[in-house]
Amino acid sequence: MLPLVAGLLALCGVAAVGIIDSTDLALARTNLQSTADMAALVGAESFDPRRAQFDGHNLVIRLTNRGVRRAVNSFVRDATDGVRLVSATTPDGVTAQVSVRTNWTPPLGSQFFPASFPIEASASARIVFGGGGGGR
Amino acid sequence: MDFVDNRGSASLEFLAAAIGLLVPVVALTVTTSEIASATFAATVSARQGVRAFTLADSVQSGQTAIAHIADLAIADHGLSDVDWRIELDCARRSCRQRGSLVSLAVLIDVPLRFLPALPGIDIAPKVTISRSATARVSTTSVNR
Repeated sequence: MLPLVAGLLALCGVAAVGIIDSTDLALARTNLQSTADMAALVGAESFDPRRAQFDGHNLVIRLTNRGVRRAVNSFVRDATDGVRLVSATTPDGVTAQVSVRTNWTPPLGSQFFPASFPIEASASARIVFGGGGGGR
Repeated sequence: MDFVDNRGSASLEFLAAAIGLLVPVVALTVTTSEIASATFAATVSARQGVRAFTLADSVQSGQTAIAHIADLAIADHGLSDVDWRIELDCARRSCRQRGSLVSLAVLIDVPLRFLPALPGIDIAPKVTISRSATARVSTTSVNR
């Protein structure tokens, strides 16, 4: 009887550690994705308003890789803790693409998970004048 | 060889062991589940609430939007009769200023329904879950 009870408790313990660590990992990924989303929005607004042009119908803006990276880097540094900027670029001069990374450490030490490993999230956003903002 | 000492009632042992082991396991599972639900609800509330606040027309409407989002998220995660509150922190004097960083922390008090009932355990009957998110007020907002 005693070995069975010990086995059951061991199984419950392993399952509890796995579930708690998995939940924490999911939350960490959600938080990192949220940071990437906000950073992408910041990058999409990094254009120079003095260089915006009106083509008769719409306001035409132009993002630069340097401007996006500088704005996003500032946001990540000021608004987050332990998050590193991997890349912040604009492939078409309108869309800001951001990728961020952080190290996740399981809250409960376990031999089933490594001590720490990096997780990464990416997002892109663009400004649409006159029709509301856009982003994902 | 005498087997008399090893005899017993299997059904009685099973019942005793099941009650002794499964009841605490179920209690722990329910409590952990509520804490996990509160954590997810706080995460969603903070993430969506801070975005809604930075898009709102005024501080009051922003706080109202945060309250709606938190109520919805908490209800969606099956939590009832929990207390929650928010903490807003703005990097600049005005939360409405363009480019201002706004941090929103959502705190949810989860009652520990089973632990206070156990003898010999004297702990707070609740645990507070806190999650925060930060966003920047749009620099291209027109209603500022």
